[in-house]
Parts: sequence; C-alpha cells; structure tokens
Amino acid sequence: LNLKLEAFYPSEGAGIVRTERNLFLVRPPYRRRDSVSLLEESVDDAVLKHGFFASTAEFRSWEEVIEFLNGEVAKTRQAVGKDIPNEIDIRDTLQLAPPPVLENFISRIEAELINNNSFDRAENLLVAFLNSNASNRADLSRRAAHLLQINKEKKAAVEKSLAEVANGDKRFASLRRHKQVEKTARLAEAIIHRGCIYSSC
Amino acid sequence: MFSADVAVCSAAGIPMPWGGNPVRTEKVLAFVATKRARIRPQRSLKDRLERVSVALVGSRNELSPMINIFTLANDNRASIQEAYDQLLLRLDEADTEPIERFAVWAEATALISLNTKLDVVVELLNQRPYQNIYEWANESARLSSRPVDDLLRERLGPFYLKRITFDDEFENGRSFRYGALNAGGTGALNYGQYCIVLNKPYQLRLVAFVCIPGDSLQICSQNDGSFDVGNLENRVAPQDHAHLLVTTERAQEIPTMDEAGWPTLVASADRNFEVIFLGEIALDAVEEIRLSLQEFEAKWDLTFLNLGEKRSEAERAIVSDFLQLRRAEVDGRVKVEVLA
Repeated sequence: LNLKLEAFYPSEGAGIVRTERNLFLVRPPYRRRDSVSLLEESVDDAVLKHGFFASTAEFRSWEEVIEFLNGEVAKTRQAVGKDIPNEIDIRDTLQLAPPPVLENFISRIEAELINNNSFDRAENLLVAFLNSNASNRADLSRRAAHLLQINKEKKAAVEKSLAEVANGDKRFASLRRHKQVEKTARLAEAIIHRGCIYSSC
Repeated sequence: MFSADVAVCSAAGIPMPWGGNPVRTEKVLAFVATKRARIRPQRSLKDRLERVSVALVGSRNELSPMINIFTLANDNRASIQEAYDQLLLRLDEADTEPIERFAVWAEATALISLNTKLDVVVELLNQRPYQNIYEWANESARLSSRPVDDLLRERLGPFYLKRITFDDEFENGRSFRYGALNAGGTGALNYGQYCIVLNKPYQLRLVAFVCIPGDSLQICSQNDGSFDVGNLENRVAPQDHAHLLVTTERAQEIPTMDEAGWPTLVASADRNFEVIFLGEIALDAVEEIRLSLQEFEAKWDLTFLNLGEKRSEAERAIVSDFLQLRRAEVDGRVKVEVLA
C-alpha cells in the first residue's frame, strides 16, 4: 500500500492522504466513515488558505499515517507549551454537555457499553452522571439509575458465569455423560502404580 | 524585467535602460510607476524567482512598486455606485424593488467571517490574537530559532512561491487577513469547520477593508501560472460599497430567490465574496462562532469515545479544545450557533 500525505494540519491530526485512486481527508478518530473524499484542487486550497502544512511523506499503511498524525499533535502542541490532558474529565464534560447530548450519552452507555460488557466504564459514567448537575433532569436521572441497576445485574450475571467456568471442573464431560468417570480413574491409578500403560508389565 | 514595463517603455519611445544593465533613470521609474496603474504586469513565476528572494530579505525591486489594494478599492467607489445605478435603470420596476431591498439587507446584515480550525478558535478564547501565516512564521522562528523563510517554505511546500508572490504584489500583503462576507450560515466549511463571525463595531473601525467578488488568488491566476493582479482593478470595493458590489454581482438571482435564501447569495459552500483587511483580531471582535450540526455531533461523539477511556493524544487534544469552546459558551464569553 502506498499512501502519500499531501498536506496535514498538525495541531489537530488531520491529513489529506492520496491513495492509488483517491484523495481523502482523514481526522481523529480516523474511522473510515468519517473520512471525506476530496477533489484534486483541495490540496492547494488547504495549504494556501486553510493553514495546512504541505507534505511529501509517504507511508505503507494507514496505521503508519495515523501514528504520524497523532505524533504531530503532541509535538506541535508541546512546541507552543500547550498541554494535552491525560484524560477527559467526566464530571466536567457532563456539566458542559447540553441536554440532547446527555440523552445521547445515556443511550450510548446502554447500547455500546452495557450491551458489550464494558460494565466498569458504564458504571463510572453512570455514577458520575448521577453525581453531577446533569442529574437535575428527572427523566434522565431515572433512566441513568435504571441503567446502573441493569449494569449491576448484567455484570453480576457475567461474573457468576465466569466464576463457574473458573471454579467448576469442566473436564471429562463425555466420561461423565457415559458414567465412566470412576472406572477411568481406577484405570489411571493402576497405570500410575504399574508405571506402564500396558497391563502385561 | 516585466513585460508590462517593457510595453510601457516601448509605447512611450523610451529606451529600456535595464535590459541586462542596472542603469535606472528617475524619468523612467516615474513613468513606469504611473503607467503601472493602468497596465498591470503579467509575470511568470519562474521570471519572478529572483524578485521574490530579494523581497524576502526586505529589499524589493524598485521597478515593481507594490499595489495598494485598499486605495484601489477606494478609487472604485464611483464606478461601483454607477454599476449599481445602471443596473437599477436596466431593470423592470418589478425587479427593482427586491434588488434595492437586497442591497439594504446586505448592508445591514453582512459581516466578515473567517472559516478556521477549532484550535484557532481556542487560541482566541485564550486571549491570543488570530495569526496569519507570516505572523505564525515569525512567532515560530522566535520559539525555534529557525529562519522565518525556512518555516514558510516548509509549511507551504510547492505552494510557497504562489503564496509569497501573490502577497508581495501588495503593500502590507504579508499583514493581510483573508475572510469572507457572511450574512448567515457557516461559510465555506471545507477545512474550516468553525466560522468566526466578526462583529459590526469591529468592522466599522477597520480603515483597511476591501471586498472582492470571489477568490483573489483565483481571479488573478493566469493559465501559465503567473498572476495578473490587474484583474482585481475594477472588481474591488471598499467597505461602504461592498453591499452594492454583492447586489450587482448577484442581480440575476435576487428577484427569483426567496428571502430566506439570500444569505447563500452572499456566501455558500462554493462561492463567496472575499474580504481582505488589516487589523488584529481578538475575542472582543467576535460576534459569534458558527458550526454545522454535523460538526457539533462529531465533536460530542469524539468526546463520548474519550470518556473513561484512554485513547490517542490527538483525540484528547481535540476534545479538550472543544470543551474549552463549550465552557466559553456556557460562561457567556462567546456566542456559539449550531446550524442544521
């Protein structure tokens, strides 16, 4: 794969990348669905009018492109003394999010986290939600509390089944089904005693 | 040596004093300077390489006086007014009324806007003035101890000559701010998802303002890669006549368009009226920040992905910037409008 970075905007990790057939604008979170196909003259516009940096860098994979663009964000911001936070403050974010966004967050906690067994992250977000000003909206607060309960139940159910797998002796299921466990155990002891698998020993 | 200058001298019967020889007479220089106002030079980029390098070290060729685009615009007042008056005379009475109404509306509504990236908006919020590429290069040079020109070359790559050559055609070209007239909407979003709209008081304080029907670089670009800044000569308007320029340029479309669509006649995704002006832009010059609903949702999506999960530095940087903008909005420091 030959990918040419034609231009990039370092402080936001955006890049205009030429593949064999097309020109794409990619930007975090670098999902295929977010990339935009561009016209040829876009590179001129991006550099001449929109602050992009021209580039001639070439890469063999999208991972390399993304790694480069990510690196540029850190490098550029560091150069001008702008810190990148180690994490996004959940409570701060929930305070700033407008109501429709909060509703969307709650729906995504259910659809993307609880339903995909990301229980700890879901719990953290829901607890933060219930402890924030966002919980002033009764309907959202009720829904969050309900989801927290569901999350706990699902988490408990999954943990229980995991514990069964970890603790229960799931070996020799076929011998058990055919009631041959004891007979086979005796045979095994005999073999150990003889030090040989053949009865004539 | 520039073809237009040669043509001027030939036409006047004055021997060309500089053809390979650095002799320059005051008479020739004065004559050329006068005539250049009418006959604009058409130079190929190749021919001008040497001239650009001279300009970069601060010693510009005496034979190519820079053009003052703001004076040019001021000189166009009468012709722009006349074009508008002629337009009204040509039209049926039924079409005159919406045209006049549009002109009044455009004068009252249109503001300067700059489509830019989120990090630029955040810089403004943090009391750092908006920078053009030369200001960025100067600051970066101070921080990195690298030459300004190296930084410009690196950033602009193959477009270096085009940008520098064009900007150096004009007096104060390296201090220009490029924006667009905006009477509603998010402007051209291609790479600048955040439309900074400047307020009327700031705009009225500007002493250097010109409005151009389109993209100045495109208007001046010739097929052979050279520029003809003469193409701008009759097409630039000062601030108090910008609304007349817009009205005259869109006259065909105004009578048939519903008023709700008028903002798209001023600025849309594929066409606009460029504004070039001089002046520092700080937060108190900002009327509001506009962004599309799509961008708004994309940024909250990115925020959600980063809640309780450690992802890339790039994502955290952008989310952090976006939350700063939102904080400024919640605190009442800036108005943010999300447009569907």
